Order: sequence, then structure tokens, then C-alpha cells
Amino acid sequence: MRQETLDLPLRERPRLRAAPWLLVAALLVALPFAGLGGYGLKIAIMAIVYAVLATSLNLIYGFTGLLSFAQIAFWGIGGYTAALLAVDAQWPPWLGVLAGGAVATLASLVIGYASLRLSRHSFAIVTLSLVLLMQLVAKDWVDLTRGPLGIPNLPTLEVALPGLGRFSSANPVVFYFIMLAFAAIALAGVHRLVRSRIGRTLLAIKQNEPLTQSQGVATLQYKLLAFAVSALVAGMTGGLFVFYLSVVDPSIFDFFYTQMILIMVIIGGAGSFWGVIAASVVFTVIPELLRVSPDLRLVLLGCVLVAAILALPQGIAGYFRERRLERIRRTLR
Amino acid sequence: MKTNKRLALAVALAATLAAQASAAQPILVGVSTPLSGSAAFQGQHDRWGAELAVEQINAAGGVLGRPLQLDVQDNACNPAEGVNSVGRMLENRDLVAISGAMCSSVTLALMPIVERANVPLLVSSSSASSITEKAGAGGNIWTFRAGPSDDSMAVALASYLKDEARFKKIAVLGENTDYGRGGAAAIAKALKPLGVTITSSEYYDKGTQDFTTVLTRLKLAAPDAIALYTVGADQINFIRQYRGFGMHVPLTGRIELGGLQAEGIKSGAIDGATSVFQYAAELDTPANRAFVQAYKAKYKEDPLLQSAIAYENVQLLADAIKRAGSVDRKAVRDAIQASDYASMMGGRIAFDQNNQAHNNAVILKVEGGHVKVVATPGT
Amino acid sequence: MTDFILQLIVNGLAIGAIYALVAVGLSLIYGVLEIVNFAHGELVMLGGFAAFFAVSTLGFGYWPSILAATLLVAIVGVVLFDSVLFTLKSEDFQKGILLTLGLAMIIQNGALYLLRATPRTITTEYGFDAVQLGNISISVLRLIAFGLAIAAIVLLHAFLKWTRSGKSMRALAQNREAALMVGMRPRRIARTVFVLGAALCGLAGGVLAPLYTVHPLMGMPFVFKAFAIIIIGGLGNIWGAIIAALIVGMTESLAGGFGSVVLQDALAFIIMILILLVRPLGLFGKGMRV
Repeated sequence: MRQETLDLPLRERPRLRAAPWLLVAALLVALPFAGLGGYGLKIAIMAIVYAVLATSLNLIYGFTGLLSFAQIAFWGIGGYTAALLAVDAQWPPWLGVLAGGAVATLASLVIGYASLRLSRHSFAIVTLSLVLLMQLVAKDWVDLTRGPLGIPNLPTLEVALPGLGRFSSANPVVFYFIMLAFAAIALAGVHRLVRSRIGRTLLAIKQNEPLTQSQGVATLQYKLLAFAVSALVAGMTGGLFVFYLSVVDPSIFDFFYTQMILIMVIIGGAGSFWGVIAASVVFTVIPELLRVSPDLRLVLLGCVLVAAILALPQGIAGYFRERRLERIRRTLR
Repeated sequence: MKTNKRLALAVALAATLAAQASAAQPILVGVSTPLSGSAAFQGQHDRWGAELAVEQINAAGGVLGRPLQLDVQDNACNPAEGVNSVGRMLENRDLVAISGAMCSSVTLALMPIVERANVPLLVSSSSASSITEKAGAGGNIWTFRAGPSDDSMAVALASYLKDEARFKKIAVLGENTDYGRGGAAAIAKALKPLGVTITSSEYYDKGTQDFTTVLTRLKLAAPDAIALYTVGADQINFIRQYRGFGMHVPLTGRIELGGLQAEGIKSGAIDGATSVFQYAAELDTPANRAFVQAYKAKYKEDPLLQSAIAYENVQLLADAIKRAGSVDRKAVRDAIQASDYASMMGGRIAFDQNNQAHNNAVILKVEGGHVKVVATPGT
Repeated sequence: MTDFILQLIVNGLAIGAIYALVAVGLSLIYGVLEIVNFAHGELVMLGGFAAFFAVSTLGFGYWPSILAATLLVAIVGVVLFDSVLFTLKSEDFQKGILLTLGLAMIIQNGALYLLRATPRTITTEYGFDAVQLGNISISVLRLIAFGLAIAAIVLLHAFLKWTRSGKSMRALAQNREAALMVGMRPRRIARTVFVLGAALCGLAGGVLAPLYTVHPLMGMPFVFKAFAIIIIGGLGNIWGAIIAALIVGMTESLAGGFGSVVLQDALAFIIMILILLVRPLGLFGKGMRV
């Protein structure tokens, strides 16, 4: 009997090699100095912000299978917490960012515990309503949140590097590096999580929750964990973001942000770590490119969206995965 | 012979210069305004006001022989969008100044950016007082506000109401934005020393269609007057439903009385209403009449407050560039600071040490289905 | 005080009936096609504009304008379905979300661009007439809106229960594989469902046009509220959606009357969350019960 194992190249991820990573890192570090200009830098910053936000959604939706609109609720909670602590309690902004993440995580545990038992569709709608309610609270609980005007004149993030001096995030280049460093840490963290045993359990929950439960896994705890980690990441991103804008107002909860990260995750390929990051960059750049026509910009964005989802129903990553599987199928015939 | 040659040369030179002026490099002015989202209607008029000014200025030969050109970008009333879209505008070295951003939080987010880029920002329709607090000497010298602030407007109305001495109990209804809340807070502050009590303060989200619960409640409470801080579609809905309820409680506050509200005004249902506003199309100055006529001809709608402010921002800017004699941003900024511009509101636009101008406001009254200008107090 | 409460309830029922029109369409589309239709609010807006143009440009009366609005949006529904939405299969949950989101973006901003943001009003032959019942006043237009909504829902019920098409829809919703096995044509049924949902939105828009202002952003508040309502009623349950809509309308009105406008805005979502805590499947559970 021939012992033949089909060595099918089913693993999508290539082995980690140092060289391409160093190259990418070098490019990212050099970006602000490569004559990008103020506008280009702003786009780069937004791309990083979106990449982290979209990845937090990817964690809960792509890897755990739970469509959640709550990411923006958490990013807003993080932003407002950080801003309020900085302005009302004179906390240093960095501490505010951490607190923002903590409060968002706490909120996610409370909300998650109550709502993760619901059906997937109900859960999605509940999270959607949550963002709307948060925006109403931000607009109307004026004593706490200052209402529709928001909280202006936020302080800047200060970085003190020994020997190099103090840097303030008022300088976009400095904020770019702050965001880059944060994104590297956050994305690395999420990456480790999804490649770990926990991550595999999450995938199992995504694919067949009853089966996973029958194996003795407490799926609620895993779902809560994913929800909480995604809230932590989103909350801290929100905290950083408000110090970049120097103002936070209820528009931080706008449906526009929810739409954007949803687009990025679905078109990137829900469940594909790198696909979503790539789509984040693409969909940060496209709306900016469309500013050539300020009137038709959003119409065109809608058209791009419809075209993209019709052409790539499984997202970019799904498309590549299908092609690879097709090639394998052909070799098997 | 020599004189003829000289003459010919002079004529040729003049002709080339004239040709050059029309084919000259345009002067770029940025406009940041909401083109989408809940404030799109006001943003539309903000843009139209600026565009009309540019059209008129260019028809008269431009500024320093060069035409003005607008770069209009959507900020969706969202600070992040505002920052990105203005970032794009600033890429162009030829950008001389920006008029924006209508929504106060966007304006606040733009202030550090224009300071960093050394570009003058003429605030359009943002009424938050924190903008003025942060602008001017010792603060952000690049930001200027030509329109009046909430506080100064409220003082004007309060003094008028004092003369009328009719209302002891007033209910406030405003839109849930800096415009609505700021205006309502200011009137409350101004009325307190006059012995007037505010019986209730309600704020609704922009885009609210149904005011029947509010009206039902107000009918029960029966205040002496209702102070409105509403605009646009929301106000149309409110007044229609107010009529439907057969209510006759006098209306006051900062009621928008422009052409959009014509149906409600003409019906006579709000006769007796008073409003203090930053602008009125009915104001009878020659400059304003010309403006309203040109605006209506071009856009088939009456100008709003936002139209007038944007229009005057661009006119003011053109005036400043002419006085500066150059398009250098610093020189233009200094020229704006030194402005003494005759506004079509009848006042003069001159900036104090907080870069705030003190133009006239208007006090309006609705009588017999028509809007009348009662007074134009300074602010 | 009783007059006050009664007036609030009457107001609430009227608005609740309009919510019901929107929510029922959404529930139908979700129940049969499993699409979460984010463009639903924009269909209402199109209905509003159709009525506006019918009355102001073409000089129609109230009743023809309602017909025009319903028909026009039904046609839009056909166009949308046949051009783009037919590609959706029931497993394509996320594709459906993005497609309808994209369509909503195109429709709303297209309307902003083509029709301007200026709010439009129409005045029909009913004007501001109101009916007086004691101390309670109900505007005639609201009364008619309520009547039309009820009539439409009754017709829908009859359609679903007694016509072949309607029965196929229910079959498809109950058990897709079985329905396919007995030879039903899913695409045709799906188109009918979508067009029906669209027509209901058109009717809602036409009814709203003389009551409130018509502008490109008028549909937005309806979508999210309709989602909350169908969850409260129970996903896929038509009568659940109707009852939930009326309940939401009334409680909103009472909340607005005794509390504040803000509470009114938030109430639908608060009720939804509270109900889900107690009954995770909504008030009337799952299934396309008619």
C-alpha cells in the first residue's frame, strides 16, 4: 500500500521571513519623509487608524462570525473618556487613552454578557442600536459630554525620547509615528490571538457553534473575550484619534465610520488578517481620490462599493483563496 | 513717427496685459462646508453664497487682475472629514484663504491646522463662543469671524422684548446642535435679569419631522411665548404642525423667516412673531437688495443666513487681497485684520482683538403675513 | 389629563401605522430573502419625492399622488432587483448588507445631487383640516394615513394567505429547500417580495409627503427604527412587526409627551433592548406567521 500523503498547499500563510518585513517597516518609517506632503500624511494616518479599527471588527466578525456594529460605539466611548479625563480631571493624555480602552472594554463586557446570547441577527441589530443610542447620549447628556458642540481644545500627546527631546502630536509626523507604533502593537497582538489556540477556537465557533459547544467549549466566554479585545483596541484607537483632532464631538459615532469599516472588512475578506488591512488602505485612499468631484463623491463611492461586492463577493482574500483552491482542484483531476 | 510707434507699442502692451489678466493664474479660495449629511441644506446655501460672490467679482475684473476660483470640499459636519478635506485643499500652494466650516466642531478642528499652515480662515456660520475665545491676539491669529456670536444676538433680542414687556413665561425649543443650544443658552442668560422665566427647554435632533408630542405638551403648559432656535425643514414641520394644532402662542427667539418659510408666514398663522437673526433677505439696504436679487435669479431660492455670511467672507477676502496688493498669505492675513468693510447688513466689519467683528443683526417681526425689519442693532 | 393622554395615544397610533408600513416591508424582505435592506429608508424618500412631483409639477390631487408614489417605488424596486439584487442568495448575508448599503449611498446622494437638499412641502386638498373628537384633534391627513396603512396591511395579509404567489412566499420563508424541491421559482418569488416591500415604502413616502417635508435625508431615521421594530416584533413575523410598530408609535408619543423629545428618539431602541433581555426572540418569536 502506497503511503501517499497529498501535500496540498492549503496553508495560506507563507513562513515568516525577516527580509520582506524589514523592508515594509523601513518603507513605513520613511513614508513621512518621502515628500508625501501634509495631505498625504493625513491620508496615511487615517489609513492606519482604519486598519486598526477594521481589524478589531475583523476579530469579532471575521474570526468569530459575529457581525457587530459596536466597534464605533467603543471607539467613541474611548475617545470621550480620554477627552473628559484630560479636560475635566487633568489626566495626562496617554493615561486618558489607556483609560479609554479600559472603559470601552468594561462596556463591552457588560453589553456582551447581555447580548451575546441572542441570535446572530438580533445581536447585530442590537449593536447597531447601541451606536445610535451612544450618539444620542453624547448629544443630550450635556452635563457630561458638553452636548453637540463636543469637547474642544484637547491637549496634545507628548512623547519624550531620551536624547532626542520632546515631541508633540500637534506635529502630524509625530502623530503618524505614534499611530504606527500603536498599530504595530495592536495588530501584532490581534495576530497572535487569532493564530493561537484561542483563535482556532473562535474559528470553530464561527463555523459551527453548536458543534463546538458539544465539544465542551464554553463558547460564551470565548465570544466575550473576542468582543472585549476588539473593544479594547477600538477604544484605545478612539482615544488616540481625539487627541489628533483636538476636538471630540458626537459625530465620532457617525454611521459613516461603521459603514467604512464594514466595507473594509467585507471587501478585504472577513477572516483574512492581511486582506482587511489591505482593504483598509485602499478604502481610505479611494474616498480621498474621489474628492476631485465633491458633489458626486459619495455616489461614486456607492458605485465602487456595489461593483466591488459584485465582483468579489468573498472579498479580496476570498477571491485569492478561491483561485488557489481552483488550482488545487484542477491538479487533483 | 516716433510717437506713433510708441503709441502702437503702448496699445500692444496694454492688449497683451489685458489678455494676460483673463488668462491669468486664478486665486484659489477654499470652502469647507457640509455637502452631505444632516446639514447639507445649509451647506448648499453656504456654497452658493460663496459662488455668487466669486461670479460677481470675476465679472468685475477679478482681484489684482486675476480671477477667483473656489475649491469646495465636503466636510459632512464631521471634524475628521473636515481635517482631511482641508488637508487636500492646503496641498495647493496657491490657496490664499479658507472660508469654513459651518459646523462649530469642524471649525475648531481646523483652527490648529490653519495656524500650522499659516492660512487665514474666515469662519462661516459657526456660532460657538469658544472659537472667538481661542482666536485673536495671544491665540490663533489666523482665524477670523465676521458674523455675530450667540451672546451678542441674545442681548439684542432681550432688549427688544424688554420694550415689549409682554412675556413672563417662555418655553424654549431648539435644534440639538451648537446653533440651537448656544442660542437658547444665550437667550436664557439674557432674559433672567428681566424677570422672565424659562419654563422648559427642549432640544430635538436635526431631521426630526414630528413635533406633535412637543406641541401637545406646550399646549398644555400654555407659556406666554415659545422661543424657537430652529431652521430649515425642521422649522417648516414645526410651524405646519403648530398651525394644525390651531395654536396661537406668540413665537420668538431666532426664527428663520426666509423664503423657505414663506408658506407659514403668508398664511398669517405666525403673525406677531419676533425674531432676532444675523441676516434677513428683507433688510432694505441697496447692497442687500442687489444681493438678494442676484441670488434669487441664479438659484431660484431666497438666500439664507449661511449664504450671506459666505458671500461677505469672499467679498471681504477680495477686499483684503486688494489692500494687501499681493496673495502672500501673511500679507492677506494682516490685511484682513485691518479690515473696515461696509457690510450689506448696514454695519461695518472690523475685527477686535479676538478677531471677532461686530456687525449688525436684524430684529424682524411678522405682521399681516409679511416679514418686517423692525431694527438693526449692533452686536 | 385624560385628554392629554388620549391625544398622545392618537398621535402615536398615526405615526405607528406609518412605521408599520416601513417595518412590514423590511420584515417581508428579510423573512423571505434574508436580506437586511439598508436601502429601505431611501425607498421611502423616493416615494416622498414621487408624491411631491406628482402634486407640485403634475398637479395631481392627494389620492393620485399616493398611487403615483406607490407605483413609482415599486418600479424602482423591480429595477434594483433585476439589476443588482437578484445575485443575492440566502447565504450571502454580508454581500446583501454591502449591496444595500452601496445602493442607499447612491440613492441618497444621487437625490442630494439631482434634487438639491432644499426641503419641499406640498399642500393637498385636505390642507390642515382636522377632525375633532371632544378635546382631541386629529388631522385629516393623519387619519387617512392611518386608514391607508391598515388597508395596505389587510391587503397584504390577504395576498399572503390566499394567493398562490403569497403562499409561495410563505413557503420559501418557512423551508427553502422544500420549496425548491416542489418546483417553486425562487427568483420570481424573490422579485415579487422585494417589489412588494418597495411598494409599501412608496406608500409610506407618499403618505408622509403632505404631513412633513420632503428632502433627500428624510428616509434615514426610518431604517434604523424599522430594524428595531422588526426585532421587537420578532424577526420574520409580519404581524409581530405591525403590532410592534404600533406599540413603538404609541410609547414614543407618550414618552415625548411626559418626558422629552430625546427620549422619544431613543425609545424604540431602548424598548428593543429591554424586550430582548426578557424574550430573546422578540415578542412573537420566529417564523413567518401571518
